[in-house]
Amino acid sequence: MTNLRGLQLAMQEHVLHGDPAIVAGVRQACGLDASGRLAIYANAYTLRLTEALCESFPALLHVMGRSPFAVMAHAYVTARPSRHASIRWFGEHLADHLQARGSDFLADIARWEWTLGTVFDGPDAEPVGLDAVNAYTAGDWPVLCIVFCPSLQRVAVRADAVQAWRTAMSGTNDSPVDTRNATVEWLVWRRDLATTFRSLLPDESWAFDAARHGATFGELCEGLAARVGEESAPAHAASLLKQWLTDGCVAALACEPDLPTGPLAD
Amino acid sequence: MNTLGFGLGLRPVHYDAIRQGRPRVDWFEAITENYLVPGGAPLHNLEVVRQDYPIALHGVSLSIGSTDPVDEAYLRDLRQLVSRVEPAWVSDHLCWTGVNGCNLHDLLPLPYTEEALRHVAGRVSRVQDFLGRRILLENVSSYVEFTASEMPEWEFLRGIAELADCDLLLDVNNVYVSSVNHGFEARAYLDALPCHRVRQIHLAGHEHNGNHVVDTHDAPVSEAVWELYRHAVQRFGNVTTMIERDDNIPDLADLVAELDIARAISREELQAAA
Repeated sequence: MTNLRGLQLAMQEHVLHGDPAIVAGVRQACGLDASGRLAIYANAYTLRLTEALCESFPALLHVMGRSPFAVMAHAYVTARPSRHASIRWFGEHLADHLQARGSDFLADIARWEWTLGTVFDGPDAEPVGLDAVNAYTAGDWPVLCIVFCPSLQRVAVRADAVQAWRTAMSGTNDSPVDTRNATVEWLVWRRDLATTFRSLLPDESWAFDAARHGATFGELCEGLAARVGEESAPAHAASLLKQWLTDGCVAALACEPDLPTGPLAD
Repeated sequence: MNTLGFGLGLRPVHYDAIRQGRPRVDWFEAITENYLVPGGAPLHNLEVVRQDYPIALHGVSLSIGSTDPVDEAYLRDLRQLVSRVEPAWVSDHLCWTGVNGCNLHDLLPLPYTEEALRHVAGRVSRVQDFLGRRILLENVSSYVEFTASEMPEWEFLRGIAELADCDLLLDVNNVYVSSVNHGFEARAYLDALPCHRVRQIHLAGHEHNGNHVVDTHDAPVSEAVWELYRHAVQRFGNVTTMIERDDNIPDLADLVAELDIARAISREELQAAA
C-alpha cells in the first residue's frame, strides 16, 4: 500500500499546499505539461470550496463584495481543509474563523446564516399545538416538561448583523438601518419547511434554556419568580408555553422527568 | 437487465417544475450527499419526487480509492438514506477524494496498478456487503495520469468490476474528456468494457480549452459525445441513460428536449441492430 498511499499524500499536498513532489510522478503526454495538469486540480479545489461558501453565506458575500469575500474564503480554505463527506458542512467554522480575526460583525452574519442553514435541514419533528395541554390535569403542571422540536436553535447574534442579512436577502438597500451592535438572543425554528425566527427577551431566553435542559413547568415558575415576581411568574410561564406552542416550536409535552433534551446553543 | 429509461439529474431549481409539470423524464438521479442531512426541505422534496419517479442515488464522497479507512459513519448514513428512498441503485466514482481525514471534494484519479486494483476491489466488496447490494462505479474524467500506472484505465476499470463483482456507470463524456487529455481512442475504451457490467450511462457537457478539455457539466452535450454515445448504444444496447447538468442549469424543458436526442439516438441504433 506504500506506493498508493504515498502517491495520494503527495497529490493532496500539492492540491493543498503546492508541494511539487508529485510532479515527477505525472506522465507527460500531449497538450499540457505535468504542472499545468496538476494546476487544474489545485485551482478547482479553491474555486469549488469558495463556491460552497458563497452558497452557504449569500448575505456575507453581499456585504463583503465578491473580491474581498474571495480573499477571505481563500484564507478559510487554507486554514480549515474540509473534513466532511458533504461540502454542505464546509462553512461550519467560518464564524469562528472571522471572530478570531476580529471581524465581529462579519462573524455574526456568518453565524446567523449558518444557524438558518442548520435549522433549514435539521431533524424533522411534527409540532404539537395548543390543544396538547388538554391531556394534562392541574396536578400534572408542576412536573410538566417541554420537548422542543430538534431543529430549533437559540443563537446570540448582533442586531445589526441580522439587519444586514435582511437587507442583503431583500435585494434592496432601503431597509431601515439598525445600527445597534448589541447582541440579541434569537429563536430560530422551522414552520412546515420554512425557517423563521424572532428575538427573545431575557426572561424568555432564560426560560427557554431551562426548559430545553429539562426544567419542569414548576421549575420555570420558580426561576421566573425571581425575575418577574412570585405572583406574576405562573401566568408568565404559561404565556411563554402558549407562545412556543402557537409558534410550532414544541414537539411534545410530557410528565416524565427523564426526557431527552437538545444541545444548548451559545 | 432492467432499464429505467432516460433520466435527468435531480436539481433543486427544478423541484417546482417537476411537481407542477410531471415532465417526460423516466427517472431522476439524486446526488447522495445533498440528502445526507437530518431532515427538512431537501429530504421532503426528494420524497415528493420519489412518489412519482424512480430514483438512483449517485454519490461523490465514498472515496472508494482512498488509502484512509472506509468512512463508516458515511456508510451508515448512506444505508439509512437507501432505506428511506429505496433507490433503483447506488453509484459512486472510481476515485479518491482525500487522505488523512481531508476531503478535497474532487474526484481524484488513481494510478492504474495491480496494488490499487486489489485495494479498490476489496473496499468495493466491503461496501457492497455493508449495503447489502451491488453498487455501480463510474469512470471519472481526469487531467493527469501517473507514471506508476501499469495498465490502461479501461483495463483497470474492468478488473475492479470483475474482481469486486460490481456494476459500472459508464460516463461517456468522461471517456471523451480523458481521451482528449491523454490521447487515447475513446471507442477502444468502450470496446474493452464488459457489456454485462454496464448498467447506466452518463452524458454531460464539457469545455474545450485549446490543449485540454475540462469536465464542466455546464453546457449541452457536445456532438462528439453524442457520437460516442451512439457507439455505446451499439455496444451495450438498451442501457439506462441520463444527462447531468450542474452549472448554467437551464429550464427543465430544455433538458427534457436534450434528453429526446438521447432517446432518438438509442432508438435508431437499437432498431438498426434488430
